[in-house]
Amino acid sequence: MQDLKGVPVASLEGEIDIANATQIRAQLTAAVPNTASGFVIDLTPTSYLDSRGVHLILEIVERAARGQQHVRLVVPSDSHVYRILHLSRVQDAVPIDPTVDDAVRAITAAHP
Amino acid sequence: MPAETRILIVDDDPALLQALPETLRLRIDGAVVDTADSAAAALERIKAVDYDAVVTDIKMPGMDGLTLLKEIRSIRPETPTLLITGHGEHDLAVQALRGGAYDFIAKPIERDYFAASLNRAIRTRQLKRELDAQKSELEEHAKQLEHALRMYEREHSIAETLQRSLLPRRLPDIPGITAAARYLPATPEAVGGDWYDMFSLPGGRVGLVMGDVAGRGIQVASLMGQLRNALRAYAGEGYSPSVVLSRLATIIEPTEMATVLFMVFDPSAWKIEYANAGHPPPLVATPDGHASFLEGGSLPLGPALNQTYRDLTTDLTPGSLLMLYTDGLVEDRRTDLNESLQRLKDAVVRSGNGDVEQLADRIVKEIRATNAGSDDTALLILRIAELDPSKFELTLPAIPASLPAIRHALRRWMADARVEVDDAYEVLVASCEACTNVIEHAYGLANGNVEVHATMDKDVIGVIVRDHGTWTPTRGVHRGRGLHMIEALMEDVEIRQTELGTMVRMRYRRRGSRNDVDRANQGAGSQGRPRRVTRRGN
Repeated sequence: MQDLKGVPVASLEGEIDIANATQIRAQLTAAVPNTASGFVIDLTPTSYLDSRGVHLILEIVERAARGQQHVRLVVPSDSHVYRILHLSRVQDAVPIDPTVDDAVRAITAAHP
Repeated sequence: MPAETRILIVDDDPALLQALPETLRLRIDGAVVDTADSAAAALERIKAVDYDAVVTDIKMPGMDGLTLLKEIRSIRPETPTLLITGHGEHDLAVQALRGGAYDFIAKPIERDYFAASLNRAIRTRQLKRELDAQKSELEEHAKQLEHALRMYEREHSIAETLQRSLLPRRLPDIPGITAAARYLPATPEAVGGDWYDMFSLPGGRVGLVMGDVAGRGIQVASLMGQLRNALRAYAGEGYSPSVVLSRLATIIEPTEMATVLFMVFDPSAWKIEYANAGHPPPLVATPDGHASFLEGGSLPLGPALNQTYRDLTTDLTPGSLLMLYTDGLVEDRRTDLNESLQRLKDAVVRSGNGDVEQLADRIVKEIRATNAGSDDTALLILRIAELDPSKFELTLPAIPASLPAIRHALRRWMADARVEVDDAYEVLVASCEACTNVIEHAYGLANGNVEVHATMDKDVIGVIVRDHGTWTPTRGVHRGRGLHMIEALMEDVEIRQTELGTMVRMRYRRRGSRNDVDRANQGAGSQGRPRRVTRRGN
């Protein structure tokens, strides 16, 4: 978890499945401060993600929306994780950017 | 010879009773001579005293000498008796000898002959007495020995029962591994503290143990049992080999000693992680005929306090052979240790890709021939199965922790078969979605397995995921997402549910064999592919 220009960025490393999805959700919700107007989930270092990972992301997006928080995902469009997110139409629920910089810029632009 | 020689003279002639004792005292060392003037009086004395010899006149009023001889033979059969006969009484003399007399002395008594004969009689009697004493002493020893032997046998059989009960009755069946084990006591009487163990761990991993508690007998066997059980418990908790060993070190007393090698094999990654507390190095042989010992480790458990143990890792590729053993296999008084290790290496290399049971038998035969079993020996041999690039089989407990193992194994299988990376990823996700469904929905609170079977040819990869449970009705909004993902990724999917369980059969068409329409859609998803989804059962 790091902070870029006041925007929290959570990087998810390794593999996400039912063995660790609950744990990752708990870590994420604890790490993002309620005061932040938005945050970024960086899936660039994620090597594997299946429907439980998709489920996890959609849950977080939904929860953030209830608190008026803005979420953006970061995934390079040529990655396997991008394919999986795309198949599940995650892009309909949350904007996906190719780089962390793009995502942070989008959030700071919306909340100057 | 005892200091005192007791002689009884029996005669009704007072003159002779007077003269003879003096004659004997002069001629026989330490002679103590008693006299009796009748056979009846003599018998009383003989009952009370164990004489070295009795001398009696043959002709006496009342009971005569021959009758007295008969009495003596019955109450003191070992006491030599000499009879004094009258001049020319040859018949009586013969009768006396037949009646068991030691000798007869004819009157007039020739003193030197008399003394010599008596001396011989006494000597014979005393030798016989010593012999008897030795014999009974020996018998006593034999009795004690027999008792000790019985105690020893009892203790030995307890130790042996204990020790045997702690060795696995049969090795667990683990897919992709064939294993053989042997235990040889040094001699049938000697039960040592050697043990081996092999057991399943979470995530499809396999625990391998080879240990040796110093010493013999019940105490050693019981310490071995404690270490074995503690090791299994700590390993089951998921501790790494080095942590398991450092915990074992807290169980053992400084006066005791044990060497332990603990290894954890991960069949999905073909890696083995291990820590070694003073145990001989395990041997690894690769299919290309190269063999080496896995060196590295710490001191034995016990005397060295505050030891730290290190986790070491090595690859164990398909077709490799791993051998764990105790020092009885390589140490004997006549052969150099390095030579023994080299011999072991040669034996393993020579066996090539042969059967592990046969290899175990051959090694045991070799030890028996060269080492004559001076120490007990345990042996555990594992062969990692050769990969069949056309086939994949894996059965693991239906728990979340199995998913990474399934993924690693499938990934490795497809990488070895040079499946294109994008194809491999899609097959991987679809297969694991099916496995996740089994883990979440098939068994409820009960335990069960998830089975993955896969086959491939140059066009198609087929995957079957099956369970033996009953699926719960849909629960939660995201439940259908996994199935949706499978349907999106695979060319066709068939789900068959029966009372015996559920089978998901999936087919994936590899990129190289898709038609032009499909090829045009590559990278942008596979929505353009013709798709078939079949559902059977409930």
